[in-house]
Amino acid sequence: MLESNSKQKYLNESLVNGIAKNDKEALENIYARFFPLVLNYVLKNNGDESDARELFRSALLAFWMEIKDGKYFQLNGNEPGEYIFQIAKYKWSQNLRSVPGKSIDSLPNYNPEKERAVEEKIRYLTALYRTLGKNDKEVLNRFYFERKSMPRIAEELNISPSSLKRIRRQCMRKLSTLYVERKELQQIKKP
Amino acid sequence: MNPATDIQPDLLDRIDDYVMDRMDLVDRQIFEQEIEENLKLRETVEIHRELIRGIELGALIETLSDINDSHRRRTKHTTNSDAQPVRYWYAVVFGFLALIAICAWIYFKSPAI
Repeated sequence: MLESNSKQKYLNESLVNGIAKNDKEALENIYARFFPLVLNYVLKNNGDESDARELFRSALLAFWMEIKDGKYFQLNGNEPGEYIFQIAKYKWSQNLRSVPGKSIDSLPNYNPEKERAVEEKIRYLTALYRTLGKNDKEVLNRFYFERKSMPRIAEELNISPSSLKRIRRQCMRKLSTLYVERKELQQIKKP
Repeated sequence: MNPATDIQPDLLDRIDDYVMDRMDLVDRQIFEQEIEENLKLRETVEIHRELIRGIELGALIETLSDINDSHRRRTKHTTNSDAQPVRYWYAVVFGFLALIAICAWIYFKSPAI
C-alpha cells in the first residue's frame, strides 16, 4: 500500500515536472488520463463532448499557469488529476450559472478571485502572442517552448545562427514594445 | 508580503542614516543612480519573464489543440471500427437467412417438383 502510494506520488511528480518543461508526452498523458473524468462530469451535467473538450483545455491552461508561477507546489496533497478536475468543475459551474434552468450537482472548492486573475493573464498574454508572424512564432516556439538550442534550431530552419539570433532579438523587442504600450494603456483606462 | 518591493520602516531609516551621514553629495548620487538602475533592470527582467510566459502559453494552446484533434480522431476511429463490423456481420447473416428462406419457399412451392 505504502509502496503503491509512493509510486503514485512519483508518477504525479514526474507528470507535473513534465508539464513545467512543456513536454508534449506529459501533456498527452494528462489528456489521456484525466479528460475522461471531465467528459463524464460534463455529460452528467447538461453538457456535450465539445463543451468537455473546451472546458478541459481551459482547466489545463489554468493548471499550467499555476505550475509556472510556482503556486501548484505550495498546495500539498492535491494530485494533478484532482486539481484539474476541481478547476474544470468550478469553470463549468460558472458556465451553467449563466444559463437559466441549468444547474450542477455540487460546487467545488476553488478560489474565484484567483481564477479571474489567471483568466485575465492568459487572455492578455495570448493576445500578445497572436501579434507575432508565423516565422517569428516558429523561432520563438522552438527556443522558449520546446527548449531547443540555437544551433539546433538554426540547423532545422536552415538559417545561419547569427540570423537566427537577430530574428529572436527583433521579435523580443517587438513584443516588449507592445507589452509596455498595452500596460500603459491599461493604466490609463483604470479609474 | 513581497520582500523585494515592501520596505520596512526601520530598514529605510538605517539606509537613510547611512546615506546622509557617511556619504558626500556625489557619492550619494552615484549610490541612488545604482539603485535606480537596479530597479530598471528588475523591471526589464520581469517584462522578459512575462514575454516568455506569453510565448510558451501561445505555443501550449497550439499544442493542446493538436493533441485534442488527434484524441478526437482516435476516439471516433475506435468507436467506428468497433461498431461497423458488428453491424456489417448482422446484415450478412440476415441476408443469408433471407436468401435461404426464399430458396426454400421457391423449392417447396414449385409445381415442377
